[in-house]
Amino acid sequence: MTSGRDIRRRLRSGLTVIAYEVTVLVSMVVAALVAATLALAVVS
Amino acid sequence: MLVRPSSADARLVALFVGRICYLMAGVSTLPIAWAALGREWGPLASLLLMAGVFTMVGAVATTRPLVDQRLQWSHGMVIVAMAWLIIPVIGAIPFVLSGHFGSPLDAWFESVSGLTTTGLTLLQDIDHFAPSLGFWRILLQFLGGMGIVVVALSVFAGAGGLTLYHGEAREDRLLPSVASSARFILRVSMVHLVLGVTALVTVGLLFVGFAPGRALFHGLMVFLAAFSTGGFAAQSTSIGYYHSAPFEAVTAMLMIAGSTSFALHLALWQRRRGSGVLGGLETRAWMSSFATTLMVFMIGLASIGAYDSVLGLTRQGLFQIVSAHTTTGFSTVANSELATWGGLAFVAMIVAMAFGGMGQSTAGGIKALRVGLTVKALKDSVKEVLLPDRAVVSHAYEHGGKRQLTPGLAQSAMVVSLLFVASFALGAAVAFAYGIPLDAAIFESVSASSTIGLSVGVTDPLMPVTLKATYMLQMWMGRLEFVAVFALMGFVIAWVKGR
Repeated sequence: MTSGRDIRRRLRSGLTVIAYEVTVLVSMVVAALVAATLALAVVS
Repeated sequence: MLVRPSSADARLVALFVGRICYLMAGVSTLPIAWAALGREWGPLASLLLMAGVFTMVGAVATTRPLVDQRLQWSHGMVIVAMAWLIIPVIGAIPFVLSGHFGSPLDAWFESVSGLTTTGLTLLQDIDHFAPSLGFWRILLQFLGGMGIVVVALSVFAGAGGLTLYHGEAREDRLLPSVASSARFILRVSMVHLVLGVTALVTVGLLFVGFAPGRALFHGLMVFLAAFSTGGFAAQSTSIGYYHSAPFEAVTAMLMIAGSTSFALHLALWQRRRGSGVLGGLETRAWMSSFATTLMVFMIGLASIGAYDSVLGLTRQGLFQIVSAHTTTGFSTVANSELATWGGLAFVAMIVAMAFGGMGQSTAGGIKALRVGLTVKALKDSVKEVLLPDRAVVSHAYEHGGKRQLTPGLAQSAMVVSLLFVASFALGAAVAFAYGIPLDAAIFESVSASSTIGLSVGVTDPLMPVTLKATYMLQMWMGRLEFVAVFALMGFVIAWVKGR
């Protein structure tokens, strides 16, 4: 049977995975904003 | 001299292929239930027929049980290649009977595109396709992304499972046993299924204005195609249908999750720090390639004046390059618009599609680890030439711990990369021979080989039969990364010509 400690551990693991994915997406959005700004500046 | 495989070899292959067919018959109950609940009687009959054929093939193939069921390396490869050949044929039955395809070949093409997680489509009038058949079409992608063999391993894991696991282009076991690795992959997928569908439903309700039932339908469809990096959509306008930046953001996150190595998922799941996976060669190679192609893509789009605002360029540019690099193939622009981009934007997309996602993920393409290993081997060779004779060049790299880049490993990475390039060239040459412009021919060929699904309009029900067959071959070989397909060819040749 799954104990309370197990459930807490799995929740923390799940949150770590989601935190990583959100971080990657946010980093990509920031990188895309910078790239778009630079690209428009280069071609204008 | 070629040694002809024994009848025991053939029976062993048949036994495992049969078991996988049984599994597919079991999975078919999901769209069958959908059709029954939705009172879609025509699709229900065709799905029942498909399930019946899966069961019949499974029964015939497993008629003569074997005492010794140990798989050798070659058996595993042949079983995987055959399973990936037979399942799309049977899986295409409901498509053939739906009346939405120009010919049985088109329906088979759709099924191959689904199972290989490509997403190129020949489906006509997609917006009026029966929901249960639409679900089956996208479920095929999810099964392909997870790896039907991985699913099978978690159900009937036994001796020789490792050869099947490798046959599906998965290199390292994540956990000590293949069965536990397969179960971990399924667990991660199920966690993402619950969270991903919840996020998409919430966004659908809040930002797209869907009713709850519709939000759930679209959430499920988009999740299955995004996490499997498949790219089939429930509408002809793909993700552009939703006109919602938050929906695109959640979809992008799911595409990234799908193309992330399950080894990295495991390291995160176990909250391991310094495991060499997070900052390893593969992650760095993928990030570097992503950043470079993103920058070039943005300059390309800006130079043709596709978007004149920073926010517009960021939104469209980021989504397209994430879709290309994760090998998903979702789009927020029409194929006809994609075809007008050309130049640098085209080059960036082709490179992103060719490199693809990480190994041990649902993504296709050459894969980040092979690109990283090839670049490292090249760098090491240059160093050896330039440094003094007595200098020692380190061949160590990080990938789940310190590893050594041996000549054999470098050669293996380069051979598979070269095979991908040869496959790109084959598809491009066939399309070019039919009068397709070279840039479009290359784009579509890379899209097929790397199992992406983005199209500039070449893939069409009216395209020549030879081109359809070429793309099907590319999708099949690209998904299995060639080795299993060559093993099957060798098996057949040895059967015919061997003694």
